[in-house]
Amino acid sequence: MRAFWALLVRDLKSASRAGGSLTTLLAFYLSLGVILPIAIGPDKPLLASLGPALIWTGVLLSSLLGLDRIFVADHEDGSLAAFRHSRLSLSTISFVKLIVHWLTTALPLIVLTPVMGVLLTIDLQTLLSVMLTLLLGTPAIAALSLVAAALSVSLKRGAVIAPILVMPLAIPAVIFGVGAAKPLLGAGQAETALLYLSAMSLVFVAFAPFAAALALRLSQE
Amino acid sequence: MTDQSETISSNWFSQLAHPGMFMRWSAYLIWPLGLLSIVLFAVGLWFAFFHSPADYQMGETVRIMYVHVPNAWLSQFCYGLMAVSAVGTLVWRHPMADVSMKAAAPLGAAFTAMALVTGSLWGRPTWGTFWEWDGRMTSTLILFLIYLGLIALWRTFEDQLRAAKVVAVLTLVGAVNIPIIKFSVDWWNTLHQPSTFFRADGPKAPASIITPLLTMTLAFTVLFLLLHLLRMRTEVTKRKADRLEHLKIARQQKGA
Amino acid sequence: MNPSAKFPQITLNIKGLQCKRGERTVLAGLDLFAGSGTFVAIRGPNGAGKSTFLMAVAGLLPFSGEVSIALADWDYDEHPLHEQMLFVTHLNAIKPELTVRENLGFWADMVDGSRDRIGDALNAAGIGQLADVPAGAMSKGQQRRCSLARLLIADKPIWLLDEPTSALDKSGDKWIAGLISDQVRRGGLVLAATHRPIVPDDDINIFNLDLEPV
Repeated sequence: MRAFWALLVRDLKSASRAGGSLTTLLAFYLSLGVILPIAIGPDKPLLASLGPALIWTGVLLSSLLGLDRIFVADHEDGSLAAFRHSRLSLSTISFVKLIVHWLTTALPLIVLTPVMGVLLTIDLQTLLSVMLTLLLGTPAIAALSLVAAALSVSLKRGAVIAPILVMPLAIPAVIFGVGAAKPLLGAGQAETALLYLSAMSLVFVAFAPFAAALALRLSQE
Repeated sequence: MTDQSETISSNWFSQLAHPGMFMRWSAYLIWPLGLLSIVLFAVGLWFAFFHSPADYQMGETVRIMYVHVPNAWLSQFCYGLMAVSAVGTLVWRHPMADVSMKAAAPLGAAFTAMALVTGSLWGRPTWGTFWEWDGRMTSTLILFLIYLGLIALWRTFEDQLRAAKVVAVLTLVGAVNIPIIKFSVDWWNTLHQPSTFFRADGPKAPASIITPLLTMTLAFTVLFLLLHLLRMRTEVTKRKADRLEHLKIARQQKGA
Repeated sequence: MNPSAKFPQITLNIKGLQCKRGERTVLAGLDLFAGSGTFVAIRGPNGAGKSTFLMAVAGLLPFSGEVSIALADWDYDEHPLHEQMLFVTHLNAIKPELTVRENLGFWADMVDGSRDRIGDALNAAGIGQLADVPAGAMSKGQQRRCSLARLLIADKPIWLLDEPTSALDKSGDKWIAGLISDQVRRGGLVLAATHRPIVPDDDINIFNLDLEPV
């Protein structure tokens, strides 16, 4: 446990001090919140009905920005090799990286989502349900990002390729996430979607660290 | 060729799968597979054009089905083949599994693209639009994106041996995800537009439709196997050439 | 450091080690037998496979042949073998945005070392006064010293060092030689790939492993 917390604290400290990345992330998300309404036009009812879909798309795209940070720094400075003789297995290390990625990427995006809600003129009820679906669905996206980051860790162009690996696989999360948040659906439908979404997140978070560890081991060979 | 016989193990499968052996036995398969595929295409097309009925609603355009359905089937069959090869790469670390996986990816993308194009050509007269967000079409489109991702990952690696292992992991992650994607897209589809289109696998298809459909499916599958084999042979030859190139460079360096 | 601490009897037995990087064979049939109290100096020109050899011993690369490492009377379930090695690669594994002390504290936690020894380790490395400086603000040589100070915060019987003296000055060379001597005297096993020769104390048992490009 000592090593587990040490890695978690070190990565969070590192992320908070390296600075710039959080600003970039939030600025990107916010820019989408400006560009989309401008492109669609100031039609309030239309924006409000598209709101959950636009927010989900925004969160997905923004979260892909920070994807290459997950493993690249540790790979380039030799930490990843040194981890191999540490107390933690590579899958545990990947699990910590998943938590850190979610805390430093998904969580700030969710916190900023009320601002997006205002820009897209969605009502409070919808905003709350979108935030709930984001809370339940972003772990699945983070898990996929973890695997993609591990697959592309040794590549110079990893930051370019990893997002296109994640996006098709993230489609179910978007479907259920938006499906659960759409205000027009019958109550039963939204609950079903919420259940599927949570199940997906649970399964992906459970398996992703092992897939990532395998990919890391293979790409170090 | 002579020195290779010593390294071949007694296991029949690894004998067949040894690159040198593979090149030898696969050479005998190319012409038979090519001929078989030509014959099957001829028979299948003949049935499709002259011995199957035009649809009472869709008219002659229903015949696109005989190209569309085999391609849709192959788009999934090819992924299955890649997933099996991926297991071969990761578990048995067999070089021919790498080669098979690498050879299959662009073929899978091509057949998936064919399925999408024929589907949309068929959709124009049927649905009145080239693209309908129908459950199957959407899933196939996502599968196409996955193929593109796999090909892109292959190409980004310089070291193709390392690439094989990493791509294998992604292939398996994709294989686990495809049912989830299919399920979610179907759910999404019923949510947005509960619609009943013509289904190729309708409950009572007469023999006059089934015969050309099966023949064409078989023809396309044989064509796929032939192309796959050819691409595998190309890849094996390419790797051999690369190895010789490495040796040459190494020798020049030593000489210098 | 506690010089009286003794390590268990170590045996490293390598038979016919073969290693490939990509299509290229880097090591072809290498044998080595070494045990406690030995300094194995791995020498050879660039491309001879020094790093590859260390990575294979460290278990980071697939290889054919046999590499067996054994510790006498050892409970491998309690203390897994891979945790008994410390591998300092040519990279420093140091985060520039964290202070020197934070970096070492992190590695102490990761390898089950002791945070109490950080101060002494940094003094020995000659960067004691820099403990609370961000590691990125130090020079290349000082960063290397910080990375090598990881050797002093935990008692690991097997050290694998890839070019430990790179970026170091004369005093650094001497420090490393002294570190290796102490570790060998305590019954440890040190494998170091070196370009510039490391000269340990006279009583140290040195085995020179000369590699050549295949």
